[in-house]
Amino acid sequence: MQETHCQRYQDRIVEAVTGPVPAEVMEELHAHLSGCPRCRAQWEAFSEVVARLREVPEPRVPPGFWEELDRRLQGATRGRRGGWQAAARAAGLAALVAFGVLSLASSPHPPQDTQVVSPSVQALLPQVAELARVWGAAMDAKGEPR
Amino acid sequence: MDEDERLVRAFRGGEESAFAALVIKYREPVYRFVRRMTGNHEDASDLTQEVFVRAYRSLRQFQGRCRFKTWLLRIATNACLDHRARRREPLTLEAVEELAAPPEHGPEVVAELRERWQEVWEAVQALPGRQRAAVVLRLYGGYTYGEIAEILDCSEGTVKASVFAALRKLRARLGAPVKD
Ligand SMILES: [Zn+2]
Repeated sequence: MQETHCQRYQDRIVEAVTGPVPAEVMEELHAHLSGCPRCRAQWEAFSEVVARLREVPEPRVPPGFWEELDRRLQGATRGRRGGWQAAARAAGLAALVAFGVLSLASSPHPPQDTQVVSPSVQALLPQVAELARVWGAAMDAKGEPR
Repeated sequence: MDEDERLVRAFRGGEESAFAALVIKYREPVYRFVRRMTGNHEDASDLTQEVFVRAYRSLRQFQGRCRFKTWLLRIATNACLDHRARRREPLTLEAVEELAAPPEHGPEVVAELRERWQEVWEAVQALPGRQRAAVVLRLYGGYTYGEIAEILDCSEGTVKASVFAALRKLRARLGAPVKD
């Protein structure tokens, strides 16, 4: 009887030690754990494994990989409406323009590429703009990545 | 409508730069996921490219029944499962060297840490594909069981069973005793 009862909590123990769970699930689990040494032992054992798995740091993205990915995507998606590269570069440039990084004084006419990005898409980019800015700046610093 | 929905709509309306924006936004989570799934950068770089190419080609058919990120991770999972890894050997030592060790530790501690990490990487690589995907999404991506069910296109019950089975294997392999 107790065996079956506890089996119900096995999945929940694993769910709770591996990541977010709904509050009510957590409450019910805690209530059971406080009165069941067997499940508490399970909890501890699984927690230990999870702690070991989480010890491994995030793999680093090798330097230059985003630029490489950009070149590869350009090759793979070539041929539609000027291709991905022009648009990708434009996204970076558009963000640069949006952030005022490109000086209007030194560039009375914005680069042709910015025309690819409509103002309406620029407006969709609040979260992406910072990434695009960094990315666009890196591309500009290295010249045309072809 | 959230930002992703607007970008998807803009792309479908002919705005290529909207796809560029989606790549910039999601390339890192996609890369990290496929890197954890394959264990090496070479395969992960090919798969990251493949995921975005598949997404580019099929975004016009994206129905919007799930979030864009979920859809993209489903493509990534399928790409990983389809992938016949050219490098079947587990993570090499050089690859472990790439992982940053806490700078305050001496060389002996760092060597010991890397040995521990290597064991973990090998244990994760040894899991069957879908169990590995479920564990990577849960532990390293922080997704809920409901989200993982959407990504893996299965029921939450299947996700529960997969994560449970995977954790038991990892526990057995990584030294903690299994007594039940
Ligand atoms: Zn119990």
